[in-house]
Amino acid sequence: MFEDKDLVRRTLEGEKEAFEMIIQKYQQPLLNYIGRMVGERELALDFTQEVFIKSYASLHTYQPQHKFSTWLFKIASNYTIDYWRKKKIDAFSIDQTQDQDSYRPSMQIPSKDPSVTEKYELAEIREKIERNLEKIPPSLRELFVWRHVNEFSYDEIAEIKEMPVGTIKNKVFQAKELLRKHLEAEI
Amino acid sequence: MNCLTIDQIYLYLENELIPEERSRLAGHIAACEKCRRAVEDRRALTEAAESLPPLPLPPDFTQQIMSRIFPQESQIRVWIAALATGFSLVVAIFLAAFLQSDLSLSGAFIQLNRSLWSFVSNLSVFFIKLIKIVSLCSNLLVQLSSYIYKTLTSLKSVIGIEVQITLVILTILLSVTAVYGVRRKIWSGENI
Repeated sequence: MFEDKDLVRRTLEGEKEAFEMIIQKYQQPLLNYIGRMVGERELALDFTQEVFIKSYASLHTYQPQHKFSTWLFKIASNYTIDYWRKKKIDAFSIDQTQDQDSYRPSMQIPSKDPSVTEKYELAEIREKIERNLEKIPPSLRELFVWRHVNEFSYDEIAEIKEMPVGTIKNKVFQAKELLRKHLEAEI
Repeated sequence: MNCLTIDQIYLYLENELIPEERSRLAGHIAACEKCRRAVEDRRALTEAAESLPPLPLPPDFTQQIMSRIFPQESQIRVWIAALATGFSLVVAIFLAAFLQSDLSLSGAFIQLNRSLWSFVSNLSVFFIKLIKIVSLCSNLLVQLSSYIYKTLTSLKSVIGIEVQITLVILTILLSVTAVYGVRRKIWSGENI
């Protein structure tokens, strides 16, 4: 298996098969992320293509000291933010989310804390998660998807968003608790 | 100790605590049913989130992206390859003809020049005839359509739709036959 940095170097040297290998490696993770962000499969497929086209056009700006995956997902994130902005939904800034989203999970376990998972099979919980993901603000959803669907580490997410790791962790916990709250409402 | 906070539960589940803190929390979780349920519930939710199925990709997705990134490049390559092949073929034919003939090199070039001029003049005649045919056909079609439209408009109130369709088909057939006849006359050199 080739290293991403080698594939980037070979692409910049004019070997288009190297970029084809990059696409093959990242098309599924990117679609998994973008699909959960925009909610429509056809739109997600189109956005995924656009992200690869943009990344190819700006490949010369990639700096090998960073991970290629975080660089690529930063492009995808910016593209998705542009989409929300064009839709006039300016809910993508993490800082703004704190003001706009009135929900903050309680620090303590509530005295009435019903289980949202013990009544359901795993497949049912997955289906409920998919359905309720769109109810989470995009800025939190993005972090949740990166952490639990794309399985990025907190350090990688912090690198993509250029934010402290501690802030990212809190936001991911907030996203999970918010999702749990929506699932709880379905019981 | 007090019950766990929500943040502590997630830090515990994600192994983000120092070992001493983790074992302290583990001790409390073992003793407190409320915290144990809260931890297990969030663990199940995290496991479900981490096993969400991948979204289906079209089988030719990679090729779709590649053709969007490299469309012109591939077309240019095809054109260059075609031109190079054509040029090589012409050179090869010229060399073969030259080697088999008794002509000198300058004689061969003169012969080639004559052949090229002959080819170009034939091609010009062909294109002039083609333009003439296209022009005649378009005029004929415009006149025919105008006539059909006028006829159908005047007959609209008299005849039914089935008869109208039959008439249109017959007219098209007649037009095609007429165009074919005109073309044959032009190719045989007769005046219309």
